[in-house]
Amino acid sequence: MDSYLSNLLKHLSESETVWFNKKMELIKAAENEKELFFSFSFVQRKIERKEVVVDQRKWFTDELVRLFFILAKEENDPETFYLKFEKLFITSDSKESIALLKSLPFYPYTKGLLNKASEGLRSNVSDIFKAVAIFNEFPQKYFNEMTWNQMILKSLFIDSPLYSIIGIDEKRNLDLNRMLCDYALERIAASRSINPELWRCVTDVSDNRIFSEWEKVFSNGNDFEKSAIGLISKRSKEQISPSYSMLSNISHEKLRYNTWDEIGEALELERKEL
Amino acid sequence: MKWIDPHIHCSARTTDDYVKMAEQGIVAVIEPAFWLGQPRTNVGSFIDYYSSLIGWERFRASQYGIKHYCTIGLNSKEANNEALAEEVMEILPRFLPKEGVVAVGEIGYDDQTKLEDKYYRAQLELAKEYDMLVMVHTPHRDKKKGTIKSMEVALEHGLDPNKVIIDHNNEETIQDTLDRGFWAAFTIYPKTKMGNERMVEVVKKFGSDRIIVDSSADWGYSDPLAVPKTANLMLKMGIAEEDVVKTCYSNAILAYGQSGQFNESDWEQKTDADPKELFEGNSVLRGQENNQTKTS
Ligand SMILES: [Zn+2]
Repeated sequence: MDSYLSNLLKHLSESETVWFNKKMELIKAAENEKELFFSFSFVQRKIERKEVVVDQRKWFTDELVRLFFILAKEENDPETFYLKFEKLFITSDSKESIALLKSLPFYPYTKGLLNKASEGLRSNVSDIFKAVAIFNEFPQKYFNEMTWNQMILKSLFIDSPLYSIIGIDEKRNLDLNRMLCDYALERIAASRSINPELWRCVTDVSDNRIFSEWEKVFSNGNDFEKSAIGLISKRSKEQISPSYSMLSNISHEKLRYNTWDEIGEALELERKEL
Repeated sequence: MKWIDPHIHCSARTTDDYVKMAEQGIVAVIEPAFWLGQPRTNVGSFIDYYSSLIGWERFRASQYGIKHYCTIGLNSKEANNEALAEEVMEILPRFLPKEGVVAVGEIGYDDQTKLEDKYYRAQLELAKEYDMLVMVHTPHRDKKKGTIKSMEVALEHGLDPNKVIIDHNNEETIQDTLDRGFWAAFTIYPKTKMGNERMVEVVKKFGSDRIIVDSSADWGYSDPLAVPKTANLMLKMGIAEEDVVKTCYSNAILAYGQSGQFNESDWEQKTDADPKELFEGNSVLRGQENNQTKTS
């Protein structure tokens, strides 16, 4: 947490730092939660929103200030902490919900917040969904297969990047493989393009329509799609289909991106520029 | 031209209304917390209502390029349920400091009962404690007396009249409101109470200082386009453009801008309306084209 604090302080003005330190003391010393609730919301009036990058993750000054406010008073009992979180969460606005969910990995107790994290995934506001889904260790640690798989599928539906999901490769599973193949087949049937990141989690394919799709995009697709097929071909034969031969003829030198992360990152950049 | 509707209950309106409002030049709205027609029976309903004002409804409006703000308060009708009112008073401080909350409101009198008086006063104190503006709903029945009482009580509690907006004025109350230094808001109702033509006469007679036009459109018979319609009528009837802009746009900024939460730059910059923010199947726009380019 030290690197977060020093990074945050670098981005606060003198008067913001004074306010932040004063409130930290007050919250720590407070007998009830009134000071925390008030300061937590008042952040929007006192702290100018600036981007802070820590460990390659993008935060905003107001989000980090809120995180430190939550942690200011040490809780020795998980239930007390959960109750505090619940109270903040049910009255939060969008920015506050995002800060609360983004901060999940930093709480002293997290297990009991599973329902809140899943609630974030169900949000109609994409930034709230992303607060849970991307650059967050919580899903990998606590989500069961069903919740995890829904999160991956929804990411593809709303163009939220897969490469920034922590544990994206480690948590691959057969049911997800099937869901993604079914989804790909739906897109193929509707003649719609498929987000190349989808194939990152597909390791077991037996449907010929998918093979034809790969062939098609490998000859006519864009750099993202071609590179994705290139990466599939690097996998062991058993993982794709023993009988599938097209993949062995692929020459990798011509491909623009060499890892799934590169594809995901470039795709995200392109989406932002559109 | 650009307009502001500083009193409209968007939660009760359809997306068609948002589309038309944006087309007619409405760039920002204020949605005061009010009652829902159906009385609420527990504090959770209030929490969810307030949360939707600062969350979902704001997001919904942004889809149409409209900046959405709100006021938070316990309305006069439901102040009459004392046990519930006590619980609501407990949670109000949790919402007042939120982003985009421009005032405590709409509060005031309905039947002018003792309990209404009690919670009106309690919320005036809250406004003082949080250094906030107040939006006052004046009663429809026994209006003149109720309006004057609302102002006298606010003064008694030491509020600066410049920080209080008295809403639902009419020809009979405006002089009292202006004389005391409060902001005088007018609600344009189709057919009843203040109509567009009457508003034109009010501006002719009283000028444009401290006068604010709004629609108070809600789940009843009302018109979400009342502000642009009245503005256009004023222009047609020969009222100077400067006065039209003041009553239908810039006075609202002068009044509510004092909160620090209501700035012209919020909507002058590109809004967050972003169709990519939508979820397939769940979106509010459901595949419509985003309206933003038309309004800017
Ligand atoms: Zn109203």
